[in-house]
Amino acid sequence: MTILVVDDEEILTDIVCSILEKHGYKTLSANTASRAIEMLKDATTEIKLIISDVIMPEMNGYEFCSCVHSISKLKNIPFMFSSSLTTLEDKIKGIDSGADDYITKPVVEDDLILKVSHLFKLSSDRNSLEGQLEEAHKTAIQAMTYSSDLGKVVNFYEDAMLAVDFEDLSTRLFKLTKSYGLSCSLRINDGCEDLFFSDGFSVAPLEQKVITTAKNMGRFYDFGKRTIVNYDNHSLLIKNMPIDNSDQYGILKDILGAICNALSARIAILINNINVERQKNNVLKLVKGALDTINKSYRSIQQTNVEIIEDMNEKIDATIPHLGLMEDTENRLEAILEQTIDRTNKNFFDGLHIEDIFLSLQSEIDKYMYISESPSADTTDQVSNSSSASGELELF
Amino acid sequence: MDVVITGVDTEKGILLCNNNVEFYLTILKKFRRNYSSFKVDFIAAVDLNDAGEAFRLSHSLSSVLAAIGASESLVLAQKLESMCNNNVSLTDVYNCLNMLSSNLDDIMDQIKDL
Repeated sequence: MTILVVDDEEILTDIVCSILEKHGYKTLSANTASRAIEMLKDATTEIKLIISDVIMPEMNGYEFCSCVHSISKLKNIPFMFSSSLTTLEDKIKGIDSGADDYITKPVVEDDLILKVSHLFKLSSDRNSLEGQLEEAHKTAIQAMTYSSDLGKVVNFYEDAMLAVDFEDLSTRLFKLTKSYGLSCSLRINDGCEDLFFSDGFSVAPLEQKVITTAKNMGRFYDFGKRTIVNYDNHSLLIKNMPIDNSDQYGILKDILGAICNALSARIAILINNINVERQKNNVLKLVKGALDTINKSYRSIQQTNVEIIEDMNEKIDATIPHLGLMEDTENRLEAILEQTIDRTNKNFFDGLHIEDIFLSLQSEIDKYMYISESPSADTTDQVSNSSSASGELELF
Repeated sequence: MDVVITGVDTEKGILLCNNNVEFYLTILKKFRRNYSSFKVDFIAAVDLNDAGEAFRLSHSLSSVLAAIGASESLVLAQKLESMCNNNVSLTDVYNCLNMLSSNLDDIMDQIKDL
């Protein structure tokens, strides 16, 4: 342990250094404060204690002590004054300037060694406390950062639930991963095929192959700076993990696990929604087909009825004059025939009302299916227009 | 080896010098070399009206005298040091300086013969 002795009187530095060296300490000496500061700033000299005179030319001991404590890398070096100024005022000045102790000249060996030992212990305790304080500060900062990170993850849980499709979900995910400075690609399996998304350009084929190949390599698959987080329905590739910072690396992995949990849950819901939508459309298509068939059959029956009645009317009209019936009887038969035709027509027009209901129902199904496939407001009118155009009937 | 210097408590001086006689002798010789011009240096500071430098010179001398065990001279040096901080007549200062200088000369003469 090296001790720097500063005194403008060479004889006094010689004496103090001699005592210290006798007790195993290494010493350096300086005759001015400015020379001492140069030696202290020299990185090759590791000085553990400073013993300084007070009355010196140019810069006095108090100024020297304040100067040393204003330099961050020197501020923890214990400082002791050696002086024949022994008044209380002198000692208070010493404490005010930042000194840790004071020894009266002429320096007595036992007194000096005892004070030096105490100062080294004090310095060791102070360094230990500062180390603990620094560790506590670091832990507090880590806790606050982790808490902030958890807050982001919680926000992502909410944000992910607002995603309407996979692309929207990946955009929300990449916004979060970018906030951690991460560069990512994402594979989502929608139940039928793998879809790839990237926070930059599109995912290169080779990258797609790597992600796909690694999907069965466990929850976390690390290679170099890259890590792939695998879930049943997705894989997240991170291309720039901080492998040089083990603390940050560990925290990020925890966070990525939580993020991918949220992602997995939302993907499962979106896949479920897609499946429900597909099934609904299938059912609607079946219903629409059935309605089409019923409507066509109904119209065909109506048309056939009209044709039968018309045919019957023509045949009766042609037959009646050859039956030799009384005029009165002919008139009665024609009246019955007209009544029957009127009733048939009425029945037909009543049937048209049922057909309107069929058409309206088909139109609603068309609209719903169209909206499900393409959520554009303008298309609703187009569907209803096209439906009404095809619904026209030719009456006799 | 006994070191005898009139006006100096050499036992005390040796004790303060790490209880090492050789080292004490080295210190004494250094003292003789460094302080042979004390009177001249002090008068120069007074002539320049530099009370601070005069104080520093007498203060340093006091410290060294205390370290080598020169008790009688130490009293005079401390008196001179005190005079530099108090508004005393130059006559008193020079009287004190002369007495101190005479003592120092005696000590230095003895050191020369060691």
